Amino acid sequence: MSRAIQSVIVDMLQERDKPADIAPNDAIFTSGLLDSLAATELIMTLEGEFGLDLADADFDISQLDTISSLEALVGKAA
Amino acid sequence: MTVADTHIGPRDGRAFAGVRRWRQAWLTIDQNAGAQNWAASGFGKLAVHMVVVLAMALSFQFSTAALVLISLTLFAIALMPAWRIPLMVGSSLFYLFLRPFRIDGWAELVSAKAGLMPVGAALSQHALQFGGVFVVVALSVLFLGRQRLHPEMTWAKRPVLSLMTIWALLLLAALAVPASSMASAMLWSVVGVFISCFWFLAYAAVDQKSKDPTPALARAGFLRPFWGGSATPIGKSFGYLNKFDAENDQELAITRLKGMKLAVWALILTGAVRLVDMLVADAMVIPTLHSAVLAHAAGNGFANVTNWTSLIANYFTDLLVIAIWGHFIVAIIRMVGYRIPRNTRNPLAARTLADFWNRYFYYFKELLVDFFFYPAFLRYFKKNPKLRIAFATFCAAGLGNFLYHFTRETYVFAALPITEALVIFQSAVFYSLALAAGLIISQWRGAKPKPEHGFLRYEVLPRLNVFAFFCFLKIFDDITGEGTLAERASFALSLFGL
Repeated sequence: MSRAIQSVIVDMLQERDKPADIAPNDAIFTSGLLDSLAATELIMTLEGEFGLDLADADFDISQLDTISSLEALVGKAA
Repeated sequence: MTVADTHIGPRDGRAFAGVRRWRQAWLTIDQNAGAQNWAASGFGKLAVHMVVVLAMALSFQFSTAALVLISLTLFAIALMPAWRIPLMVGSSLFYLFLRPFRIDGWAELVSAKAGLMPVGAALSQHALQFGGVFVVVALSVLFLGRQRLHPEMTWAKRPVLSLMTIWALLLLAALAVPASSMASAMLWSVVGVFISCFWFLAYAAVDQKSKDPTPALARAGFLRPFWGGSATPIGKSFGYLNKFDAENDQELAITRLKGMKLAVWALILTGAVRLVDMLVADAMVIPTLHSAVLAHAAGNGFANVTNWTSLIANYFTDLLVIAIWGHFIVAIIRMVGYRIPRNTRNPLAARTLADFWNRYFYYFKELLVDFFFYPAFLRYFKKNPKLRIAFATFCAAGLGNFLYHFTRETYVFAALPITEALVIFQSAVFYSLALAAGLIISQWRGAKPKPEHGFLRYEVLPRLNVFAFFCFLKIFDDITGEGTLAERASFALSLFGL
């Protein structure tokens, strides 16, 4: 059973001593809350835990930027 | 004179306390409700804009034409906020016509090409530049328009690769036609303008994949924003800017106050650079790093202590110079109403090489990450995380970094045989590979220094490591071709008496 996207992001923020009270539409990466290395970790989690294949040319990296867009991404793949 | 007058301690303390209070009030001005209300008023808007323009003028970082264009655009946007996008696009198009090439090498090439054309078919340099801009804007309208109409096409899904192919074809065509023909002059002008706009156009094309509603026509006119700067898109594109748009008058006032603070900080840093120059170059007569390398290569190098001072001064001056123009551009963008992050954010605080890149030149790092790192990371070596990160880092810091500088400088191919022109880039190749190797190792090591490791291992050694790496790497940071790779390596070794 995979974790909810919200808890994945909250865990990543807590690991980096960042405020974890994040709203669904708050920018995670463009706001500088998490950096591109954290993005690689998130991508690997999405592939490993949620079974997503993001190599498709249609994939737009900005979809990783908010919890709502991440949930939509995971929901579409389910 | 009273006893109180001679007893300077407490008074001195009070004076410092006063300065500290003023400093604190200035640094938190954007959080002050009174200041926010003032900045939202008519007089406040005018005053904030005047401070920013004055800071830019006093810094002497802008040409008069650029200063006038930026000031007029900012005041016009403040007066007619509903016309912000058309004003930004119109001003940016004007700027592109005013300064179509990012670097002087392209302007000199087009000027030389104008002089080579046969009598009767001659065009002036300005006509060639105008033609180049016109063709590139038309090409961008066509590309972005078709991409929006046919997002399912393979070329539209991989816009950066498609744009890179167009650039390569244009370059090949420029190399193929007779050097003294009108076609050659026109093609080189188009290639020069195209490459000066390339990364802005790339962001515009990627933006369209994210369904940002900005019209393709506006994107095609925003190929070189009016705030100037390098070929690196600070502020990326409309899609990115829109994420940071102030949503109401109060947010806009806060954003502008932040812009004003940053512009003033950039002016203070400009003064710091001047002071360093006066101390190092004028008083101590220390050469620039480039001059020190060339003198060493010519066999009449400076004393070792002079070379070390030059190396270290170059590192700090470079940090300051990048910070100054980045801060000014971000300040201008904030004045327009977009609260984007800074380009440089305390790089000396970095404890890892990767963090330094994030802090030193954020939007260049973003360019490399957006166009090289992520595409490679998402596609290759997915079964092996270490190799996956290493390859993606190589694609960004190595390949992407080199490609960015190489494409920008391709005007050298117009005057030199290809093999001779390629030699110019040897130091840049080494620089990119060394940077990629350093970043890969830094990421592989993984374990970040923590406060519990002690003062030396947390506060000092990691920062010294970052400082030493980038300080020495700067010896190879050259795209002019002056001073070969071997001469630069020899200079580096000579610092240690080797």
